[in-house]
Amino acid sequence: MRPFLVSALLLLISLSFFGITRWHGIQKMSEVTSVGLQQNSDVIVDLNFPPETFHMSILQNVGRVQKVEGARVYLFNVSYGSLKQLSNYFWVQSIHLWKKD
Amino acid sequence: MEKGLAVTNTSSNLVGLSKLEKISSSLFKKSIGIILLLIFWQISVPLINLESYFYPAPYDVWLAFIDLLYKGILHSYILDSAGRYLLGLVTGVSLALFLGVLIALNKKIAKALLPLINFLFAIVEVAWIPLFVMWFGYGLTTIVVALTYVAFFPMLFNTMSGIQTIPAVYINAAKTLGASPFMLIFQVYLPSAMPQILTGLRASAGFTFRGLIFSEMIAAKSGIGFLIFEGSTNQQTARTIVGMICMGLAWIFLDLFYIKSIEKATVERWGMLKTAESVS
Repeated sequence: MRPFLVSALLLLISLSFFGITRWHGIQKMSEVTSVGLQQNSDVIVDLNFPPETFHMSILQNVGRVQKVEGARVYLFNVSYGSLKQLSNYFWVQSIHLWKKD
Repeated sequence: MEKGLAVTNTSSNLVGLSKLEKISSSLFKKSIGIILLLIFWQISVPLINLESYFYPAPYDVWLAFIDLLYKGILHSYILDSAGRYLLGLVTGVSLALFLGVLIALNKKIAKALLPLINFLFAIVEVAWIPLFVMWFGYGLTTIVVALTYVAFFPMLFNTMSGIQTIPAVYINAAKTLGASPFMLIFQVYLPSAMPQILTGLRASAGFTFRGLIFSEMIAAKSGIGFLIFEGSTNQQTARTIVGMICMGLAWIFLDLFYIKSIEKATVERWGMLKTAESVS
């Protein structure tokens, strides 16, 4: 009985964690969703700290990293699906569209 | 009447308090070794006086732990490792259980396979990993194959010896009562061999755990083994120690909530092991 209870508890904790991060994720990319993005776009991702190798490998899977300035990462050619996935990470603070002048 | 209720409440409160005291004193007794180690470690840091990357203090390790959590690295690595571990262990143990029963019950198969199995048993998984990397590349497949290999042997040998040491009386009695081969396997062989099968499971779980760390050091870009390796190569020794502590805690968690419970639910239930309670 104990293994099932512990597994259920672990599952519950994981599900609530993913639920919360997903809910926060939608809020983080409010600017992107308000535009109604359909095609791949260039974005600026603000993190809570300067990225490490671990974060860079995830960011590189999402799009092409153009440059990193402190805790800010500039990404090229990111699909909407990848952005949604990226926004679920709790260490991502916000995602904005990269408007080049 | 009210007085009676009050007395009952007070006595139940007292029982609750004494239980709490018992639990807290037992917890203290169990953790006294860890507390002493931490105190000794903290005191030794200024005495030895080395750079923190060479000999970090417990406080540095705590900071590294918080940093890894805050950056989302630790739980991602733990999840990766847990997934690989489960996959490797389940595959290895299932294969070994199936083959173990087959070999133990069939002399021809035993003759054909045992020399090969003994030969492979001598080759440790670390020796295989470079080959696995060449065949399957870096990542999940290599690690799962290596872990399956590690989990396989302890389970296989224990299953075989468990079945081979069943008293012939049990088998003959079941046969006399008209048991089919299928019934013999599931109602005589497996339940009778259960204590040794579970010993095998415990050994496999332990070996696989060690194998996981080895494999991740060589063939992964994430996981607790990778954290330990990466921490030492980047001179982030505190992170390496966090990885080591996580390993130890994960094993205690696994043993306490899964392995011991499975043992209790199977072996003790069938009366093959005397528990402390049943003795008393």
